[in-house]
Amino acid sequence: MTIPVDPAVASAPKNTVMHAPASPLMTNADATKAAPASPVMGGPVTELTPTMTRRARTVESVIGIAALVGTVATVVLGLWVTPADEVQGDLVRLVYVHPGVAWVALYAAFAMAAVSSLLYLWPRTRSLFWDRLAAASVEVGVVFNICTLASGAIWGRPTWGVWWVWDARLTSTAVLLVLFLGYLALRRVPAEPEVRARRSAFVALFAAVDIPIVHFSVLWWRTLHQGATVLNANLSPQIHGSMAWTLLLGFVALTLVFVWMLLVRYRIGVLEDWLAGNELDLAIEERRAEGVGTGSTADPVGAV
Amino acid sequence: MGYVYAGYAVIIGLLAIYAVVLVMRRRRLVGSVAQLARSDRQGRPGGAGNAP
Repeated sequence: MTIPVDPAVASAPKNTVMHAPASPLMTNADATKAAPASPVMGGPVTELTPTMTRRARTVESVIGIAALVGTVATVVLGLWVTPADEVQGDLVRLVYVHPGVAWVALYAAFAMAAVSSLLYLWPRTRSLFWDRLAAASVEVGVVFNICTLASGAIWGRPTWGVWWVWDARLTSTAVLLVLFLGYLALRRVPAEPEVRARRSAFVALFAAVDIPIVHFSVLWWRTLHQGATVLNANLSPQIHGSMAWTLLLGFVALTLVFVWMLLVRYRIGVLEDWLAGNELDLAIEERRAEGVGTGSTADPVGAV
Repeated sequence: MGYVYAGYAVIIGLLAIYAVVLVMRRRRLVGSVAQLARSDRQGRPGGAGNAP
Protein backbone atom coordinates (compact mmCIF):
# COMPACT_ATOMS: atom_id res chain seq x y z
CA MET A 1 0.00 0.00 0.00
CA THR A 2 1.31 3.38 -0.91
CA ILE A 3 1.49 5.80 1.98
CA PRO A 4 1.48 9.24 0.46
CA VAL A 5 3.81 11.46 2.36
CA ASP A 6 4.49 15.06 1.62
CA PRO A 7 7.82 15.19 -0.24
CA ALA A 8 9.00 17.78 2.23
CA VAL A 9 8.51 15.26 5.02
CA ALA A 10 9.96 12.33 3.13
CA SER A 11 13.16 14.09 2.23
CA ALA A 12 13.76 15.97 5.45
CA PRO A 13 16.86 15.26 7.50
CA LYS A 14 16.21 13.51 10.78
CA ASN A 15 17.00 16.52 12.90
CA THR A 16 14.85 18.80 10.80
CA VAL A 17 12.15 20.69 12.62
CA MET A 18 9.17 20.23 10.36
CA HIS A 19 6.51 22.14 12.22
CA ALA A 20 4.66 24.66 10.13
CA PRO A 21 3.12 27.73 11.74
CA ALA A 22 -0.62 27.69 11.97
CA SER A 23 -1.59 30.22 9.37
CA PRO A 24 -3.88 30.71 6.43
CA LEU A 25 -1.01 29.42 4.32
CA MET A 26 -1.28 26.04 5.98
CA THR A 27 -2.68 23.11 4.06
CA ASN A 28 -3.22 19.65 5.36
CA ALA A 29 -0.01 18.71 3.57
CA ASP A 30 1.75 21.08 5.95
CA ALA A 31 -0.24 19.68 8.82
CA THR A 32 1.19 16.22 8.16
CA LYS A 33 4.59 17.59 9.08
CA ALA A 34 3.41 18.11 12.62
CA ALA A 35 1.92 14.63 12.74
CA PRO A 36 3.45 12.50 9.99
CA ALA A 37 1.21 9.92 8.40
CA SER A 38 1.38 6.45 9.87
CA PRO A 39 0.26 3.29 8.13
CA VAL A 40 -2.76 3.31 10.39
CA MET A 41 -3.84 6.74 9.38
CA GLY A 42 -2.68 6.25 5.82
CA GLY A 43 -5.05 5.23 3.08
CA PRO A 44 -5.85 6.64 -0.28
CA VAL A 45 -3.95 9.61 -1.56
CA THR A 46 -7.03 11.77 -1.25
CA GLU A 47 -6.69 11.82 2.53
CA LEU A 48 -3.36 13.59 2.29
CA THR A 49 -3.64 15.56 -0.89
CA PRO A 50 -2.75 19.19 -0.26
CA THR A 51 -6.28 20.46 -0.05
CA MET A 52 -6.95 23.81 1.57
CA THR A 53 -8.69 24.01 4.88
CA ARG A 54 -12.03 25.78 4.92
CA ARG A 55 -10.56 28.51 7.13
CA ALA A 56 -7.73 29.14 4.67
CA ARG A 57 -10.20 29.36 1.80
CA THR A 58 -12.32 31.86 3.73
CA VAL A 59 -9.32 33.99 4.69
CA GLU A 60 -8.10 34.02 1.10
CA SER A 61 -11.53 35.03 -0.21
CA VAL A 62 -11.93 37.83 2.33
CA ILE A 63 -8.47 39.21 1.58
CA GLY A 64 -9.09 38.97 -2.16
CA ILE A 65 -12.37 40.85 -1.96
CA ALA A 66 -10.89 43.50 0.36
CA ALA A 67 -7.94 43.93 -2.00
CA LEU A 68 -10.24 44.36 -4.99
CA VAL A 69 -12.49 46.88 -3.24
CA GLY A 70 -9.50 48.80 -1.87
CA THR A 71 -7.80 48.95 -5.26
CA VAL A 72 -10.94 50.16 -7.04
CA ALA A 73 -11.47 52.81 -4.33
CA THR A 74 -7.85 53.95 -4.67
CA VAL A 75 -8.17 54.28 -8.44
CA VAL A 76 -11.44 56.23 -8.20
CA LEU A 77 -10.18 58.55 -5.45
CA GLY A 78 -6.77 58.96 -7.04
CA LEU A 79 -7.97 59.72 -10.56
CA TRP A 80 -11.17 61.69 -10.04
CA VAL A 81 -11.75 62.78 -6.44
CA THR A 82 -8.49 64.13 -5.00
CA PRO A 83 -7.32 67.58 -6.12
CA ALA A 84 -4.47 68.30 -8.49
CA ASP A 85 -1.17 69.43 -7.01
CA GLU A 86 -0.05 73.06 -7.19
CA VAL A 87 3.35 72.14 -8.65
CA GLN A 88 2.90 68.81 -10.43
CA GLY A 89 -0.70 69.25 -11.50
CA ASP A 90 -2.49 65.99 -12.35
CA LEU A 91 0.77 64.04 -12.43
CA VAL A 92 0.66 63.92 -8.64
CA ARG A 93 -2.12 61.34 -8.96
CA LEU A 94 0.57 58.73 -9.65
CA VAL A 95 1.68 59.12 -6.04
CA TYR A 96 -1.32 57.05 -4.92
CA VAL A 97 -0.08 53.90 -6.66
CA HIS A 98 3.63 54.22 -7.48
CA PRO A 99 4.96 54.33 -3.89
CA GLY A 100 2.46 51.60 -2.96
CA VAL A 101 3.83 49.09 -5.46
CA ALA A 102 7.37 50.11 -4.54
CA TRP A 103 6.62 49.53 -0.85
CA VAL A 104 5.28 46.04 -1.60
CA ALA A 105 8.18 45.11 -3.88
CA LEU A 106 10.99 46.36 -1.66
CA TYR A 107 9.82 46.10 1.90
CA ALA A 108 7.02 43.54 1.93
CA ALA A 109 8.02 41.01 -0.72
CA PHE A 110 11.80 41.05 -0.88
CA ALA A 111 12.27 41.68 2.84
CA MET A 112 9.88 38.81 3.55
CA ALA A 113 11.87 36.62 1.17
CA ALA A 114 15.05 37.49 3.03
CA VAL A 115 13.55 36.79 6.46
CA SER A 116 12.00 33.53 5.24
CA SER A 117 15.33 32.47 3.75
CA LEU A 118 17.06 33.25 7.02
CA LEU A 119 14.50 31.18 8.91
CA TYR A 120 15.06 28.33 6.49
CA LEU A 121 18.81 28.42 7.02
CA TRP A 122 18.44 28.63 10.81
CA PRO A 123 18.53 24.97 11.96
CA ARG A 124 15.84 25.35 14.63
CA THR A 125 13.27 26.72 12.20
CA ARG A 126 14.29 24.83 9.08
CA SER A 127 11.23 23.87 7.10
CA LEU A 128 10.30 23.87 3.44
CA PHE A 129 7.44 26.13 4.51
CA TRP A 130 9.92 29.02 4.69
CA ASP A 131 11.46 28.08 1.35
CA ARG A 132 8.08 28.07 -0.37
CA LEU A 133 7.15 31.34 1.31
CA ALA A 134 10.39 32.94 0.10
CA ALA A 135 9.84 31.70 -3.44
CA ALA A 136 6.27 32.98 -3.46
CA SER A 137 7.36 36.35 -2.06
CA VAL A 138 10.07 36.78 -4.67
CA GLU A 139 7.84 35.92 -7.61
CA VAL A 140 5.11 38.33 -6.50
CA GLY A 141 7.76 40.90 -5.60
CA VAL A 142 9.25 40.74 -9.08
CA VAL A 143 5.87 41.59 -10.59
CA PHE A 144 5.50 44.55 -8.22
CA ASN A 145 9.07 45.62 -8.96
CA ILE A 146 8.33 45.68 -12.69
CA CYS A 147 5.22 47.77 -11.92
CA THR A 148 7.40 50.14 -9.87
CA LEU A 149 9.97 50.64 -12.63
CA ALA A 150 7.35 50.98 -15.37
CA SER A 151 5.17 53.47 -13.51
CA GLY A 152 8.27 55.37 -12.40
CA ALA A 153 9.42 55.69 -16.01
CA ILE A 154 5.98 56.95 -17.02
CA TRP A 155 6.11 59.51 -14.21
CA GLY A 156 9.71 60.45 -15.03
CA ARG A 157 9.06 61.32 -18.68
CA PRO A 158 6.89 64.42 -18.08
CA THR A 159 8.68 65.52 -14.86
CA TRP A 160 12.35 64.83 -15.63
CA GLY A 161 12.09 64.85 -19.42
CA VAL A 162 13.43 61.29 -19.78
CA TRP A 163 11.99 57.81 -19.41
CA TRP A 164 15.07 56.54 -17.65
CA VAL A 165 18.15 57.97 -15.99
CA TRP A 166 20.99 56.14 -14.26
CA ASP A 167 19.97 57.65 -10.97
CA ALA A 168 20.99 55.85 -7.76
CA ARG A 169 17.41 55.00 -6.72
CA LEU A 170 16.39 53.78 -10.18
CA THR A 171 19.58 51.86 -10.82
CA SER A 172 19.59 50.11 -7.43
CA THR A 173 15.92 49.16 -7.93
CA ALA A 174 16.72 47.73 -11.37
CA VAL A 175 19.66 45.79 -9.89
CA LEU A 176 17.30 44.37 -7.27
CA LEU A 177 14.97 43.19 -10.02
CA VAL A 178 17.83 41.47 -11.86
CA LEU A 179 19.04 39.81 -8.65
CA PHE A 180 15.64 38.36 -7.84
CA LEU A 181 15.10 37.28 -11.45
CA GLY A 182 18.33 35.35 -10.95
CA TYR A 183 16.83 33.85 -7.79
CA LEU A 184 13.81 32.64 -9.77
CA ALA A 185 16.06 31.26 -12.51
CA LEU A 186 18.13 29.40 -9.93
CA ARG A 187 15.01 27.75 -8.52
CA ARG A 188 14.32 26.23 -11.93
CA VAL A 189 17.62 24.36 -11.93
CA PRO A 190 16.74 20.72 -11.18
CA ALA A 191 17.81 19.72 -7.68
CA GLU A 192 16.61 18.01 -4.53
CA PRO A 193 14.16 20.22 -2.58
CA GLU A 194 16.66 20.77 0.27
CA VAL A 195 19.52 21.63 -2.08
CA ARG A 196 17.33 24.02 -4.02
CA ALA A 197 16.05 25.60 -0.83
CA ARG A 198 19.54 26.08 0.64
CA ARG A 199 21.12 27.64 -2.43
CA SER A 200 18.03 29.80 -3.04
CA ALA A 201 18.14 31.05 0.55
CA PHE A 202 21.77 32.13 0.20
CA VAL A 203 21.00 33.96 -3.05
CA ALA A 204 17.98 35.69 -1.48
CA LEU A 205 20.11 36.90 1.44
CA PHE A 206 22.77 38.12 -0.96
CA ALA A 207 20.19 39.98 -3.05
CA ALA A 208 18.59 41.48 0.05
CA VAL A 209 21.77 43.48 0.70
CA ASP A 210 20.49 45.77 -2.06
CA ILE A 211 17.27 46.61 -0.17
CA PRO A 212 18.83 49.14 2.26
CA ILE A 213 20.88 50.53 -0.63
CA VAL A 214 17.65 51.24 -2.52
CA HIS A 215 16.07 52.79 0.57
CA PHE A 216 18.95 55.07 1.51
CA SER A 217 20.06 55.84 -2.05
CA VAL A 218 18.19 59.15 -2.04
CA LEU A 219 20.10 60.18 1.10
CA TRP A 220 23.53 58.79 0.26
CA TRP A 221 23.75 60.20 -3.26
CA ARG A 222 22.49 63.27 -5.06
CA THR A 223 19.57 61.87 -7.05
CA LEU A 224 16.76 63.04 -9.28
CA HIS A 225 14.34 60.90 -7.34
CA GLN A 226 12.66 62.73 -4.48
CA GLY A 227 13.11 61.72 -0.86
CA ALA A 228 10.47 60.07 1.30
CA THR A 229 7.17 61.91 1.50
CA VAL A 230 5.75 60.25 4.60
CA LEU A 231 8.55 58.38 6.35
CA ASN A 232 11.11 61.13 6.02
CA ALA A 233 13.89 61.96 8.45
CA ASN A 234 11.71 64.36 10.48
CA LEU A 235 8.76 61.93 10.52
CA SER A 236 6.73 64.86 9.28
CA PRO A 237 4.46 63.86 6.37
CA GLN A 238 4.61 66.28 3.45
CA ILE A 239 1.10 65.39 2.31
CA HIS A 240 -2.24 66.21 3.92
CA GLY A 241 -6.00 65.92 3.70
CA SER A 242 -7.71 63.75 1.11
CA MET A 243 -4.39 63.23 -0.65
CA ALA A 244 -2.88 61.70 2.49
CA TRP A 245 -5.86 59.41 3.08
CA THR A 246 -5.88 58.24 -0.53
CA LEU A 247 -2.15 57.58 -0.34
CA LEU A 248 -2.70 55.53 2.83
CA LEU A 249 -5.57 53.64 1.20
CA GLY A 250 -3.33 52.87 -1.78
CA PHE A 251 -0.68 51.40 0.50
CA VAL A 252 -3.24 49.25 2.33
CA ALA A 253 -4.98 48.09 -0.86
CA LEU A 254 -1.77 47.14 -2.64
CA THR A 255 -0.51 45.36 0.47
CA LEU A 256 -3.74 43.34 0.50
CA VAL A 257 -3.23 42.54 -3.19
CA PHE A 258 0.26 41.32 -2.31
CA VAL A 259 -1.02 39.15 0.56
CA TRP A 260 -3.71 37.59 -1.64
CA MET A 261 -1.19 36.87 -4.40
CA LEU A 262 1.21 35.46 -1.83
CA LEU A 263 -1.44 33.05 -0.52
CA VAL A 264 -2.30 31.84 -4.01
CA ARG A 265 1.34 31.56 -5.06
CA TYR A 266 2.27 29.67 -1.90
CA ARG A 267 -0.52 27.20 -2.59
CA ILE A 268 0.82 26.72 -6.12
CA GLY A 269 4.20 25.87 -4.58
CA VAL A 270 2.62 23.29 -2.29
CA LEU A 271 0.75 21.67 -5.18
CA GLU A 272 3.82 21.65 -7.43
CA ASP A 273 5.97 20.02 -4.75
CA TRP A 274 3.27 17.46 -3.98
CA LEU A 275 2.86 16.58 -7.64
CA ALA A 276 6.62 16.39 -8.18
CA GLY A 277 6.82 13.83 -5.38
CA ASN A 278 3.79 11.81 -6.34
CA GLU A 279 4.20 11.82 -10.09
CA LEU A 280 7.42 9.89 -9.62
CA ASP A 281 5.60 7.49 -7.32
CA LEU A 282 2.86 7.07 -9.90
CA ALA A 283 5.35 6.45 -12.70
CA ILE A 284 7.01 3.71 -10.63
CA GLU A 285 3.65 2.09 -9.97
CA GLU A 286 2.84 2.24 -13.69
CA ARG A 287 6.07 0.45 -14.57
CA ARG A 288 5.36 -2.17 -11.92
CA ALA A 289 1.86 -2.68 -13.27
CA GLU A 290 3.27 -3.17 -16.75
CA GLY A 291 5.68 -5.74 -15.36
CA VAL A 292 2.88 -7.72 -13.70
CA GLY A 293 1.17 -8.05 -17.05
CA THR A 294 -1.91 -6.90 -18.83
CA GLY A 295 -4.10 -9.62 -17.41
CA SER A 296 -7.35 -9.55 -15.62
CA THR A 297 -8.03 -6.05 -14.34
CA ALA A 298 -7.96 -2.92 -16.37
CA ASP A 299 -5.58 -0.39 -14.92
CA PRO A 300 -6.96 3.11 -15.07
CA VAL A 301 -3.56 4.42 -14.04
CA GLY A 302 -2.06 3.15 -17.26
CA ALA A 303 -4.66 5.01 -19.20
CA VAL A 304 -3.81 8.37 -17.65
CA MET B 1 -3.60 63.19 -17.77
CA GLY B 2 -2.32 60.83 -20.46
CA TYR B 3 0.74 59.85 -18.46
CA VAL B 4 -1.39 59.39 -15.34
CA TYR B 5 -3.81 57.06 -17.09
CA ALA B 6 -0.87 55.18 -18.62
CA GLY B 7 0.73 54.73 -15.19
CA TYR B 8 -2.46 53.41 -13.64
CA ALA B 9 -3.11 51.17 -16.65
CA VAL B 10 0.36 49.63 -16.44
CA ILE B 11 0.11 48.88 -12.72
CA ILE B 12 -3.49 47.66 -12.65
CA GLY B 13 -3.07 45.81 -15.94
CA LEU B 14 0.08 43.95 -14.93
CA LEU B 15 -1.33 43.02 -11.54
CA ALA B 16 -4.60 41.84 -13.09
CA ILE B 17 -2.80 39.72 -15.69
CA TYR B 18 -0.59 38.17 -13.00
CA ALA B 19 -3.63 37.46 -10.80
CA VAL B 20 -5.37 35.66 -13.65
CA VAL B 21 -2.19 33.67 -14.40
CA LEU B 22 -1.93 32.66 -10.73
CA VAL B 23 -5.54 31.50 -10.57
CA MET B 24 -5.21 29.53 -13.82
CA ARG B 25 -1.99 27.89 -12.63
CA ARG B 26 -3.59 26.90 -9.36
CA ARG B 27 -6.71 25.56 -11.08
CA ARG B 28 -4.59 23.42 -13.41
CA LEU B 29 -2.56 22.03 -10.52
CA VAL B 30 -5.64 21.29 -8.42
CA GLY B 31 -7.02 19.38 -11.41
CA SER B 32 -3.80 17.39 -11.74
CA VAL B 33 -3.79 16.52 -8.03
CA ALA B 34 -7.42 15.44 -8.19
CA GLN B 35 -6.71 13.28 -11.22
CA LEU B 36 -3.73 11.65 -9.55
CA ALA B 37 -5.72 11.02 -6.39
CA ARG B 38 -8.58 9.52 -8.38
CA SER B 39 -6.21 7.24 -10.27
CA ASP B 40 -4.64 6.10 -7.04
CA ARG B 41 -7.97 5.40 -5.40
CA GLN B 42 -9.36 3.44 -8.34
CA GLY B 43 -6.55 1.44 -9.76
CA ARG B 44 -3.21 1.75 -8.10
CA PRO B 45 -1.82 -1.70 -7.22
CA GLY B 46 -2.29 -2.10 -3.48
CA GLY B 47 -4.28 1.11 -3.25
CA ALA B 48 -7.51 1.44 -1.37
CA GLY B 49 -9.46 1.03 -4.58
CA ASN B 50 -8.13 -2.50 -5.03
CA ALA B 51 -8.51 -3.53 -1.43
CA PRO B 52 -10.69 -6.60 -0.92
